[in-house]
Amino acid sequence: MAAEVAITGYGVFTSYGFGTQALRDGLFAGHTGFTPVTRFDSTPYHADRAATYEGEGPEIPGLPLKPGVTPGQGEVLRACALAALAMARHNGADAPVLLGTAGDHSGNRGFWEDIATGRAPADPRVLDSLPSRLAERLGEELGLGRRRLAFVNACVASTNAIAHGADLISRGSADVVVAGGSYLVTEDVFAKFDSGKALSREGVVRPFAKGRMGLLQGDGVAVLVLESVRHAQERGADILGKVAGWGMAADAHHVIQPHPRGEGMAAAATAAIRKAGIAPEQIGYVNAHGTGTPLNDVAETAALHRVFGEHAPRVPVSSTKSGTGHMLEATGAVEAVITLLALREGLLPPTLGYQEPDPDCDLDYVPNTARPADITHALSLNAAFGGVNAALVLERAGEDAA
Amino acid sequence: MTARTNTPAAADFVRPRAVAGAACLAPWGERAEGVPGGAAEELPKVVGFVLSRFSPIVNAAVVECLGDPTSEDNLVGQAGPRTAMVLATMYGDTVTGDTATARMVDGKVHSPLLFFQSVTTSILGHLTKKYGITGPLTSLSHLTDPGGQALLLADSLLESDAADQVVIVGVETAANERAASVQQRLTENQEQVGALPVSDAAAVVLLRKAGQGSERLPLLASAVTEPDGAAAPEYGWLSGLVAAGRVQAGVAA
Repeated sequence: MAAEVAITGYGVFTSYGFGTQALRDGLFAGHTGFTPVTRFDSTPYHADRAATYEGEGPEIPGLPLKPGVTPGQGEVLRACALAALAMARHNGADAPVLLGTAGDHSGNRGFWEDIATGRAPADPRVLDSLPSRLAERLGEELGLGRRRLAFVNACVASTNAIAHGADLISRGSADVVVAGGSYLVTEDVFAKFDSGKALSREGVVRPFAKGRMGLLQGDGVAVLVLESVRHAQERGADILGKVAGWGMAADAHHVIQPHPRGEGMAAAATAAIRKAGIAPEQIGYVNAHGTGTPLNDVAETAALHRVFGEHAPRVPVSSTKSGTGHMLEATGAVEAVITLLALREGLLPPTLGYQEPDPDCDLDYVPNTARPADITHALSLNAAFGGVNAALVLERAGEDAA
Repeated sequence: MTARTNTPAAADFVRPRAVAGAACLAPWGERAEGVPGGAAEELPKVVGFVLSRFSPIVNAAVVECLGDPTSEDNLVGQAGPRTAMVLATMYGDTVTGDTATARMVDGKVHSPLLFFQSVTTSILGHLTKKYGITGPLTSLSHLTDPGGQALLLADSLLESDAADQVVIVGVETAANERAASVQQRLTENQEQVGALPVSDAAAVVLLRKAGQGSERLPLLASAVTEPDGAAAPEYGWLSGLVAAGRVQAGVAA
């Protein structure tokens, strides 16, 4: 029989600051994290805002903000992992380390500047541009398990990390897993998205709303401690919630565009709901991928219609990227934490910036203000270039999914 | 930091597995003489992918393994919904990523094409469309043995019944200045790091569930050698996947 998967700890960092209260005071209170970019000169670009941490809200423990400098992913991951392990009251020994990250890009620019000017590259941060080195370093520094992997499948990477961790626990291959993801806004990635005309030029993100113009990036790092329910119970740990289901599926449609009918996303969501052993109607909230791009939001709406059928209009859906920004490889892990908070605190985070409805996006998007709701299960969705889709079903602690 | 990283070399697959297809590709021209998968330097172009050979080599190696996507006899056939893909790499597409960054340092604007091709999933999207693959798609990076970890992950996908077959793709481009610098500095730090291929290379293994009565196969890591020597040392960490395709195909067929 498959082992149930508990969440027993987490650490999270966003533009709102470090920890849970920062998310409550920011996202759940209806504030966006978008500010003018200060880490680099945005003059060459069409967009000029991102949800970067600018010192408002709780600081990262042991890592004071340096104006104009992107924090190191490795250092923020360490702070989040320490917070997660402290919450779980576990040392993480033998826990596989599974991270969604494309590597820390903050050292790349310095490397190429050195090359361009004929200097010998000296910035050690460039070593963390190798994605798996972040997982290796985190595992080594904190004495975690020997299996240390980086998932590099773009915007589903940390969802994939959590799903794989849950799968390892479910099949008895691990008792405890440290899973998460990281992305911190850097100029080179910002510039790539800007060149692709993916960034909103109006300084806000308005997912699912008429006239939406695209996404904005945001800082995000989250680390979760996943654990078999049996293991957690045996050591008397607090079970914060469960990862009840997970699923992944491909669109087989286009290199960058989502399937217009959301077929891959619907397949991933359906697989996750089926694995959770519940009926679709038991999902009380969907944390959507909701990038705020014209194509994604229509496709995702279509996917949710496929998953929920006639019940779809009654399922609250929000895109928290409207507040946090799109955290790329980290987005699934941060949104898993946000979804867990929604379950635990009975409060659905809003879709911010929502003004006028789009007729092609006809669901309940929890516009602009958080909404109290007593829910037992929630679905978190993510998608990536190449038509890659991933879904998690989280369950409130104390529920019996049977 | 001195890292000792686990490898799956001593492990077995969870259950019997079969290697239904394999291919490796070393498009190095004359330099590839005597190397498994040696081929002419020129690769078939992939529409929309420019500058870098990362995506074209993935495309060519997967087509070599699975067969003509327009043919009914290719190894995916009607099994697209039950087929997964796992792409393994250490550095990813350094040509694309670093070209974009170097252009930025020079004060030039980015190319939109570099935007989408800089992530590993884009070429997987191209391939899934060609073959009708709609199962899970994963990409991973590992410091010493991406190939062995990809085999483990594929084994997990089969074991959890997320798929009936998994296309495992290992790919690495020749080390550019940044990758070479990182490799050198990690080695100087006494951090273990996998060997890179001598130039752009890919290896593909199609792993399936095997019938009852089949032997359990060892998971092969990049350090594994065949009795007559290294499997294909020119492939660096990809040599484990090259060996998996060569050795296990014979055992499991």
